[in-house]
Amino acid sequence: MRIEEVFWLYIWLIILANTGVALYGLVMRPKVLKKIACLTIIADTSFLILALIGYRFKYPLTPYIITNWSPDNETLSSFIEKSVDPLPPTLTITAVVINLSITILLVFLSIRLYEIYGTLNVRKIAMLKKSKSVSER
Amino acid sequence: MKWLSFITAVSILIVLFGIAYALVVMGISGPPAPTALRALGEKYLYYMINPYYPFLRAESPEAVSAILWDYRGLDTLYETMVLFAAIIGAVLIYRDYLYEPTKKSTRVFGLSLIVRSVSKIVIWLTLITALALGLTGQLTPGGGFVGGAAFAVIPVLLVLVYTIGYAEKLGFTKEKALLLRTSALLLLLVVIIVPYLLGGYVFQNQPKPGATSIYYPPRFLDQTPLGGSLFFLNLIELFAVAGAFTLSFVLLGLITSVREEGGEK
Repeated sequence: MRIEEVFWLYIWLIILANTGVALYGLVMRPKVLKKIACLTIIADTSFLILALIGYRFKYPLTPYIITNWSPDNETLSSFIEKSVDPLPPTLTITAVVINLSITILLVFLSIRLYEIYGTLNVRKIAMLKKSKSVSER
Repeated sequence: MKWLSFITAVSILIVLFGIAYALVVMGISGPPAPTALRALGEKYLYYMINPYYPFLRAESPEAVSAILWDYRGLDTLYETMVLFAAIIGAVLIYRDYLYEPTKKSTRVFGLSLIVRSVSKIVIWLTLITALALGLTGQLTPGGGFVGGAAFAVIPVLLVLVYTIGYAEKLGFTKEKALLLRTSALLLLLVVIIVPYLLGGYVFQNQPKPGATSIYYPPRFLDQTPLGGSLFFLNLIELFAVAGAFTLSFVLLGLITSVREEGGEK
C-alpha cells in the first residue's frame, strides 16, 4: 500500500467519523442551535466528499481551466489528460449557497421559536405543549 | 433512556456502514482512488472552448462556469429561485421589522479599537476578493455564487463589530438590499429571455443551428473572453446573492438589537 493510498483511506475514515458525530448531535442533542450546527457539519462533509470524488491520482494535475483560448486538438487532449473532473465542483458551488440560505431560514425560525416558547430546548417545548393541551381540556 | 441511546447508536452505525458500502462497493469513489476521468466530465472539458464544434462550445475557458450557466443553465436558474424562496421565507417571518426605521443604537462604537481596526482591513480585502471572484468568473474558479457568498461576510462583520446603526449609515440598509436583490432577479430573466425574443433560444450565448437571432452577446472584451452572456450572468448572480444575504443579515442584526434594548415587538 502506497503512502497516498493510506492518506486517501484516512480522509474517508475521517469523513465517516464526522458524519457519525454530526448524526449523533442531530438526533440526541435537545437544543435547536446545536441541531443546526450539526446540520451544517453534515453539509460541509458532503461538500468534502464531492471535492474528493473529482480528484484523480495522477502526478501532473491541473485545475479545469484552459489557458490557451483558441486551442487545437492536441492542446485539448493533453489538457483532458491532466485536468480534474469539473462536474463535482459545479454541484458544490450551488449547494454551498443553498445550504447557507437554508441555514439562515432555520436561524430565523429558531428566533421565532424562542420568542414564542422562551426556550430552544426541544424536549422542554414538547413538555410545554403537552401540559398546555392538558390544561385546555 | 438507556435503550433509546443504544438504539440511536446502532442506527447511526448502520447508516455509516451503508454510506461506506455505497462509497466502496457501488463505486462512487471510495478508497480505490480514481486515476481516470469520468466520461461526462471529459465531454464537458472537450467541448467547452473547442473551435471545431462552434455549436457545442460555451466560449468559457473555465469549465465550472461553462457547466453552471450554459450546459446546465436551467438547473442554475431554478437553484437561484430556491435561494430567493428561502430568503423570502426567512424575511416574511419578521416582515414587521422590514419597513420600520432603525432606531439610533445606544452602543455607538461597537467592539474595542483593535477589533474595529482589524475588521476595517478585512472588510476592504473581502470586498476586493468578492468583486474579483464575480468579475473573472468566466476565466478563473469562482463566479457569481461564490463572489456573493464572500460579499455576505461584510454585513456580518459590520453588524457584529460595529453596530447595526453604523452599517445602515454606510448604506447597508434593508431597503437597498431588497431593491438590489429583486432587480438582479429581473435582470437575470431579461438576459435569459432577450435572445429568445430576437429569434434564438432561451439561455443562448452563441450562434446555434436553427436560431435566426440578430443579437449575440459579445464574445471578447479587448481580447479577453467574456463567454457570451456568461460574464453578465455571473455579475448579476453576484449582486443577487449579495443582496439576499445582506438583507437577511441586516434584518437579523436589527432583530437582536431591538431585543437587546428591550423593545416590545
